[in-house]
Amino acid sequence: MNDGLNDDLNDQLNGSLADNLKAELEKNLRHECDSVNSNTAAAEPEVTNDRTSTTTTTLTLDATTEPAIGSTTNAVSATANAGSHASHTASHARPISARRRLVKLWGQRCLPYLLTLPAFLLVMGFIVYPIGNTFLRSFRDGKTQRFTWDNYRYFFIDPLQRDNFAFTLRIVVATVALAMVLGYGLALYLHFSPSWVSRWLRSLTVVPRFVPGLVATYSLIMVIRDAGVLNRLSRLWGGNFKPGLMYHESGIILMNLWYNIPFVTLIMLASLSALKPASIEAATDIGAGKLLILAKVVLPNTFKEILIATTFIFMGNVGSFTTPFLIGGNHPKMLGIALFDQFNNYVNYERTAALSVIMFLICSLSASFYIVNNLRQRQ
Amino acid sequence: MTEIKVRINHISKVYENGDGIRDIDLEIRNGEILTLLGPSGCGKSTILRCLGGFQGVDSGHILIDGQDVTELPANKRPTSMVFQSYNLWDHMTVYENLAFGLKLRKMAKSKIREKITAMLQLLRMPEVVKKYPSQLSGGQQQRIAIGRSLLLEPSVLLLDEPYSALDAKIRQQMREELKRIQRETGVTVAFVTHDQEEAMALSDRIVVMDKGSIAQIDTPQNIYENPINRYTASFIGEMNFLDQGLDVQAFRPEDATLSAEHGDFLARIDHVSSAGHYGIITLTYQEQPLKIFVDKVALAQYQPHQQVYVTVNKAKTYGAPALTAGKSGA
Repeated sequence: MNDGLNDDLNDQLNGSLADNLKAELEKNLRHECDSVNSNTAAAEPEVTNDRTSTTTTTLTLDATTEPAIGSTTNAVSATANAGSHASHTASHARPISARRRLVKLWGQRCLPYLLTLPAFLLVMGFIVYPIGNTFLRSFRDGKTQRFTWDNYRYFFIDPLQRDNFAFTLRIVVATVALAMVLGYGLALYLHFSPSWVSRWLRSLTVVPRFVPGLVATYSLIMVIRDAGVLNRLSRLWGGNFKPGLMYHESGIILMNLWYNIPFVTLIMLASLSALKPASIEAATDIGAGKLLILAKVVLPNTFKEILIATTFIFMGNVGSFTTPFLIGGNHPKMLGIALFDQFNNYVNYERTAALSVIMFLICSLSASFYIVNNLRQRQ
Repeated sequence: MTEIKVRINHISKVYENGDGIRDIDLEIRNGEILTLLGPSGCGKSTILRCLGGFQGVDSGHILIDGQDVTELPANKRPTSMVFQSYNLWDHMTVYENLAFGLKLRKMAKSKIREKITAMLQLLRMPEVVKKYPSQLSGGQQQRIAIGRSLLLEPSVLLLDEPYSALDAKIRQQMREELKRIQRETGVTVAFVTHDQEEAMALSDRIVVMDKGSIAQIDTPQNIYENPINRYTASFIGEMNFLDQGLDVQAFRPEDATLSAEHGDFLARIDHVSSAGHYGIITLTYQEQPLKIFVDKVALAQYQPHQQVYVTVNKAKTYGAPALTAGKSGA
């Protein structure tokens, strides 16, 4: 990794930007040696027509000879005055001095670290440290600061919190299952149907990506609430239809599907387009029907992306906040809201920490499932 | 004497862009290798796809073993197709690939194993049975694909440029291999290619295609010796064309001789080169380029810029310059 990066940087340095700098450095170094003898003698033969310009150059170079190495300001001032010196630098080729090599080596060694340092500090300071801190805090008693399991015990014993877990899992599993089935079906239709409806639908699938989450959620609420669009439409025909979706898990699931079906469809479409038509035609040729081709050829070939989509939807929804906050009821609550309550309303940072770790573990469980499967496929 | 396996009756299939095939009439005999040859876009693959049932026809009928299959889908036809590439299912082993079709036919497991072992024996690659397609070379994959098709005992084996993704040397081996397998199984083969050398080496008969129609059907030898029109003449083998006003005289580079003293006409040598077992001399006559093959021993007596007499021993004459795409039965 590092070597590759070094090489790249080196290439760049040797390229456009560095050409000037290098030439000037070389010039300065040579000048340093020459100055032991006589400056004017060295400069004299190069005077071609403009005497004054040459003298000024010599002067600037002279004044800055010692701190010159690696100093850009000097290089720039020298460039400004160089003029006739361009030919001068090109004509003399001297062995690279030890000092210059040292400078180059230093640059090669340190530059990659310098460049990665900001990102590294950011990650350490804002991700690794808080996570570590949260982890430690989750085992601490808020008053005595002693080690305790109580923060975890609370979430597993308290009936309200257990309801929250069950509620969250139910919603997430339903979302994953429905989004996968519907999204995959849609992707199959979009991929295999040549009709204009399919082309039109395909361009619609990206729309949810462009609508801000809050806006979409409010829009849905306007439609599904008991005095919403659906209700008013039903009144036009003399009915009084109340969808009953608000403050209920089905409303949250419905909203989740709005985001996740297009997500699944996009991933599966990419996967399906990698599937070669000949692979399907060969199966048709051998006598397989459509369902069999789906089971034996299409599904196995898109299995990896199915796993990716499942994992991502699962993880994304375990920690979801906006949708359950706006659509969900008072009890039970999804874990994201429960976490918000612990932090903002009960100001219990130790329990907040414990719940964070639990949610992290749930997510990493599904992530590890994905990684293990991925590794097994590669073998 | 020869039984007709496939009868294609006046089929047409024209795509939206105007490409396709028009009024194709063709018979495939039992146990022969018939090659459909032509440049890309000439409709050769379309004929094959119509035969296999991957492509419907606008009009006409296809009969296989005397049965009209025009309306049957691919999975109901007694044909089996080998595609250019990506034939095998990557997630299945060679064994599973070969067994898939047999399982669909509800064959007993022991019988399947027996047939697959015999097939791998025929393909001379029994060691790959447990491997995945990605562990095989391109040539091996195509051989397994042919085996998979043969296991289903199709009436006609269809091959759609199966070797065009392979390099030249492997391609040559594969041709020999296919001929051997065909001899041993006696299967009827329809083979699509754009490579005239491949068609010449492989086929019992060649169908030369030109812009959606058949230009000529004949044995490789006859097509080479008696190309029916200028198109076939230029497509198969090397041919010199001498424009003579109304007519064009065409002769093969080996059908003319050179002499310093006498001959039909005088031409100037441009270039002398050796192709190993024979020599190639390019000449200019009335500003038209000619190519003539000479014996490697005689090659030394010719130099560039030399004027030599050319004698044409065997020539065909075509009307110029209209390319009349006629049709001919064999």
